[in-house]
Amino acid sequence: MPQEEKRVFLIEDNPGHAEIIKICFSNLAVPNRVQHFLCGEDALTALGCLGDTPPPAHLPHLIILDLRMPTMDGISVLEAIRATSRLRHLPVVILTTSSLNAEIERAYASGANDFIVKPFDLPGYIDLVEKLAVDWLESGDAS
Amino acid sequence: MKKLSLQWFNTGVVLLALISCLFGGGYYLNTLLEKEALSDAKKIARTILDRDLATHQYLTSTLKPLLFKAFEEAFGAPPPFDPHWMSSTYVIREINHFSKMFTSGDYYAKNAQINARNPKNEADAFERDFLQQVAADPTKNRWEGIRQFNDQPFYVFMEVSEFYSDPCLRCHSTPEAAPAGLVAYYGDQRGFGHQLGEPAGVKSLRIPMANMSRFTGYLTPGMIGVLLIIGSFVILIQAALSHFFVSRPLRRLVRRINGEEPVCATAREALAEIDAIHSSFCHLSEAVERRREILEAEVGKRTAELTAANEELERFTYTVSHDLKAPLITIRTFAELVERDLATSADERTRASLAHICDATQQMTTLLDDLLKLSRAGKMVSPAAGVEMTTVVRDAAAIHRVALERGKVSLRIAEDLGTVTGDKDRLVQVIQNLLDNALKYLGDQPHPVIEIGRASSSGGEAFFVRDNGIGIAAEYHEKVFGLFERLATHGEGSGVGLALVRRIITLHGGKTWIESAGAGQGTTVWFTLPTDKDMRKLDAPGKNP
Repeated sequence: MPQEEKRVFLIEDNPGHAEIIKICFSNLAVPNRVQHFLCGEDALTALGCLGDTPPPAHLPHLIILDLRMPTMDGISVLEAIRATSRLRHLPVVILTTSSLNAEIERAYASGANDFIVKPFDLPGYIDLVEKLAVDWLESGDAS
Repeated sequence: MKKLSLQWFNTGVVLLALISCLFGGGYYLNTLLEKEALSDAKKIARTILDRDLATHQYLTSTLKPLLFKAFEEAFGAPPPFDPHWMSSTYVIREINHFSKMFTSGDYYAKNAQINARNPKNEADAFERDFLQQVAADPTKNRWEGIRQFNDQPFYVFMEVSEFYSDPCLRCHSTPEAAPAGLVAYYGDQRGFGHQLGEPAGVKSLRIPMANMSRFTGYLTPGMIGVLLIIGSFVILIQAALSHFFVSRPLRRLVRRINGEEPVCATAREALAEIDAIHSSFCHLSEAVERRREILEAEVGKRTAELTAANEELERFTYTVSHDLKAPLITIRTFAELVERDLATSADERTRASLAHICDATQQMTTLLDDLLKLSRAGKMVSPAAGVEMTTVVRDAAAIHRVALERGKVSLRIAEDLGTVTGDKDRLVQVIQNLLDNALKYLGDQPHPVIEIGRASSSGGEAFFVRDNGIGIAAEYHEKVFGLFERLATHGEGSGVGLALVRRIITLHGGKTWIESAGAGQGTTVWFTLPTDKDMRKLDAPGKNP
């Protein structure tokens, strides 16, 4: 039986970074589909947390969330997700250029599952995505 | 050493003045009264002298010739010697004697002679001295002055008016030459032996001044006593008045200066000088208080500015590390991807990667350019001067002419924008950035309009740039002024424009804020600038809009 396609929500305002992550995910062995949102509002709408949109038929297996974004920032998006009972246990990994302790603490306090500082080069991104797959996509499969 | 208090000093001065007045006044009064007494004594002396002279005249020129004639007619011979009507000296002495009996006058009047016929007329030592002096120098025949006799002061008058002449010597040289009756009456010893030219006798008067002196003597201690009592009252009243009107207000003033009592500007003091000191102090302390408030406000303002500057610096460091790193990551990773793709020749992805690289470098350039602008905005290019805002707006609009025409934007500029104080180039930059923002966020408005004007607003008299574009939700009205803050996920903005506007306006001492009813409702960016009038006013912290 073919493996189930893993759904990943990527919330990232930098199109370049989103593209790299998508490319890295496309190279994974695990079948996956990365859905990119340029802002938190769009992602929350897709998750059924904002507006009148109905909740999606299938929740994503993983949400990758940037912290610094125009309008709604990552922490606010995370809080909105955690405030929705259906999404309370959804894995959310923070991916950001910032490595300020205060931000890390705030992210974990708001319910982040992991906090990763953006890599600086392509191998870094490849490793990062592979780690994400191992941590959050393949383990789910095994269970 | 304990200092002498003003009150005691005043009392001392008054006491001293009083004592001086008492002694000075007493002495003056005494002198005056003594003079008066002397003058009175002289008057009495003159009266006695005149009376004696009149008596003498009457006897010599009227009574004696009349009686002599009557006697000779009756008896055919001259009358025998009888001093009761023949001797004027006798008569005068007797009149004086009776006069003293009727009046209380205890004066002394005598026609004193040396070796007088009658012992009652014998000169005393004082008179004898005078007679001898006149004998030596007949020109000095008069003396007057005050002399003590039996410890009593007397006004003394002595005058020698007669000197022995030949007719005189008939009775006063030798008993042989004298009429027989005379010798029989007086004997042959007294009244003889006088020489020609010798002073015949001295008219000697002594008017007691004891009465007057006693009078002044009684008055002066009495007067001193009364004055002392009055003086004590004066001192008491002076001390009380000095206490209530001088010492107490001064002590109060000292307490106020020391801050032990609140300063009361409306309180008045009774005495002009103390009131003047008090009101001067009130003005001074008010001025100090005002100055302190101004300084505190200034310190508060500076602290707030410093805090804001520190926060901005922190945010800047953070945003630089984040926002400048982001395009670098893009460039690097896509460059690496291109490298790999070149090995396997995946044309489409290579083209896309190169496009990302170009975008990222462009983004990086914009970021760095804007950062440079922002760092320059920290200081004025030219010194503050009166700037015509209409000129500023026209200059800024000229920069965006092409974009305005392309977007078919109707730009409405108010007639008179007035004059402000500032750096013209920086102000052009402000309007240029606001126009740039308005143009960027017009959305798909079919009739785009940008208005620039000046009006009263919630933050006072201010300038505004208003568009009818996409608008901004209330929660982002403050956030948009932050460095690298953007509300759109796409578009060429770097998030520096409004940060730059705020920075320039703050530098000019103005405020910036946004009004927008929300999405699709257009945006108005407001800012204040000090006008010429404001610059003249004392610096007062403005209210936050």
